[in-house]
Amino acid sequence: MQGKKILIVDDEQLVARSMQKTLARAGYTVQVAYSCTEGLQVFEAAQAAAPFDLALLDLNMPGFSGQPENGAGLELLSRLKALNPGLPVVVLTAYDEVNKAREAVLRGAQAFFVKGREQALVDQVRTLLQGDASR
Amino acid sequence: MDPRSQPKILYIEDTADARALVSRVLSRHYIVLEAAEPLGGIELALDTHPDLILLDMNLPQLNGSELAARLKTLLPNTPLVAFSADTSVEARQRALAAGCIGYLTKPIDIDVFVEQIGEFLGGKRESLPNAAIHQQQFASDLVARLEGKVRELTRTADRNAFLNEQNQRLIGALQRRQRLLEAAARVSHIITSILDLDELLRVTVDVICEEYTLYFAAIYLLSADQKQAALRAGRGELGNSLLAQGYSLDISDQSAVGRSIMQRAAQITRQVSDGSLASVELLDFADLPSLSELALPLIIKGTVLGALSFYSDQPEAFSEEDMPALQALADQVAVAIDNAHLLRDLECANQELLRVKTFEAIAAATGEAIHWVGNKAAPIPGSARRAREDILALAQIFCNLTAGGELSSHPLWPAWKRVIPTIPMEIPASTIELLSLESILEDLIIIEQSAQTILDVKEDLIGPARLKHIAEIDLPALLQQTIFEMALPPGVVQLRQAASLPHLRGDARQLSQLFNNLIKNAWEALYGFAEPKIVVTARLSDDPHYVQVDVTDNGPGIAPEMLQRIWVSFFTTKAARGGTGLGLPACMSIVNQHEGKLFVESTVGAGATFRVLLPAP
Repeated sequence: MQGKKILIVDDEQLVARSMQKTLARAGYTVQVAYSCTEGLQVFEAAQAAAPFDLALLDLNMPGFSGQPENGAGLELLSRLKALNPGLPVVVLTAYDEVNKAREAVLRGAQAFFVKGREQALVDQVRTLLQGDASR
Repeated sequence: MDPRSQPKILYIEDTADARALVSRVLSRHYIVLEAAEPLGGIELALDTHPDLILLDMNLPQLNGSELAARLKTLLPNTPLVAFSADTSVEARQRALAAGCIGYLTKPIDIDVFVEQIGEFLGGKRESLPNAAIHQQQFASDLVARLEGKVRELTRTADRNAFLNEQNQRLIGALQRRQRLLEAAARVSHIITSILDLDELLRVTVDVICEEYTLYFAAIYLLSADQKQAALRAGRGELGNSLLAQGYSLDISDQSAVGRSIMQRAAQITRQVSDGSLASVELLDFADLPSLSELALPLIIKGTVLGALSFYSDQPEAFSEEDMPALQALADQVAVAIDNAHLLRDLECANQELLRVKTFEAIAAATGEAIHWVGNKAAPIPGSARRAREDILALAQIFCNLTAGGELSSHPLWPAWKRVIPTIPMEIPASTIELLSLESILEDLIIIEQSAQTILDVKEDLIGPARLKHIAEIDLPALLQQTIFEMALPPGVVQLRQAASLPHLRGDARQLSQLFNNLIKNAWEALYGFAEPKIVVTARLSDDPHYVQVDVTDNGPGIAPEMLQRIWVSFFTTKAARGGTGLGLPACMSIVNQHEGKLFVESTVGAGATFRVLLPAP
């Protein structure tokens, strides 16, 4: 379980950085990208040598067009799933985004996480990756 | 018989029935002319020269004898025959003495009447024995009658003179009333356009003094407890000095103003200085000549607002007859005061409504705000926890390093000894592995910035909803202060101002927030640019009703499709750098509250200019 690779894609730097540090302390190797485009690049670049074991995707951030979009993360989710259908994905969401969370699950996300309690995120990630490991 | 050769007979008789009968009887043989009254009869006689005049003795205006005497003078050769119901000898004598040649009595005997007339036409003359005596008697009667007439005429002339005088007085009163009403209309015309209460009252007393040539005029308004009437406006220096000392009168019968309010009726004091009426204490203040005072209640919709009081240096300046016109004026003033009150109330209600609406907008935004605040706060607990763990780990490291006690001579050693027992000994291995001072400092920065962003969200949300404190604004000073307080790197912001700008009216805190947000917005757009430049230009706009402030940056510009969206709450392109999406909407709200305009011009790649237009006074 130790050393597994996680990709965080979120345009809010402080949020992303804090999650990165929290997960790093839990023993994961964490990389951060700040937009859909960057996230896809980082993910593809790692595919061959050391692919990511899990992705944490924000929903509202600059999309592939470069402009801020609601639900841009859903598009990235589909692209990552296309590249790696087995990839566990956690969608970062908010209280008023129930419909988007449902949409994310339909597109293959394993879980959604309401931003704010990073320790709970660590537990969730740990559970998902254990399940992955047990397969 | 040829009608033209028929004799003409004029019959003067005021009774229509008698005329009809006689005319019917005579018209077979004569041409009958008729007159209903003596003067008409005389005219007809002169016009037609009848062959005989038959005249009733009992006529209005002139009696038969007088008429006969007159006709005898005018037509001396025309025979006159008296015709009367009076069968007395004296009546017959009077008629003959007056010049009649015969005397016929009513009722007529149809069988002989035509014949009788014929005889007179044929030359018959009745004789009057002792004619001289009767004629003297007749002349004496005539003089007595004339005397009576003269007296009657004199009385009529007197009466006419009286009526004429009364007419003159009425016309004079009407003209005065007309003047007063015209003045009232002018005052009303001037004051109804003024909606600010203090200005209204001030202008009203001035205009009234000019229109009515008064020494002094004042307006008193009732206090809330209805016990006092406070002077709210007074003419000239006296008025200003009374106003400055908060002059007011008790509502009692001690003053004309008090009485007018209590009795809801005008009060005239014909001579204030006689002391008996103790009308006003004004006399204490001014060396006034003998003057008169008029106090008119100001009443609107049955409620007394106060009183209007006039002072003239003439002792009898106001009369009861002036009251309707002057009360009309007071009513107009009351309407104008009521309008000003209503407008003030409306403005208060409107402000309240605006505040409520703003709070509603906040309520609507609260759902989103919770999400945003939650997002921004998300890293804080994690960062704080890590910083705590790291500091404890540092402490433990230090503890281990000092376990030998070789630093016990150091002056800070006692303090360290106190700390050692509080250090928990189980620090997770992963913490020790990642421990670094940079990491601790970074976590503290994350905490600081997250908390700051949350406070910014609060300020942008709540700020524009605050009650306004409108005051005169020195715009150049405000811009300098705002830029100074933002403490951006030196040389980034340039302030260019026109030599002289009109002072604005506005809320200094809101306007400072406005420019702070715009400059901050520009600064954030310049993130990562090598030579960031922000130019703030303040000058009079091309439309001289506005002062224009431009905030221009040399950043990336704004794409056309984004130009509308930037005004929407919680829309931001700078989430990564702490943007809340509330700054520009807050700017729009502040500018709207100042009745100004805010818009943006931008070309992608060539920076953006946010232009603020604020109304110049």
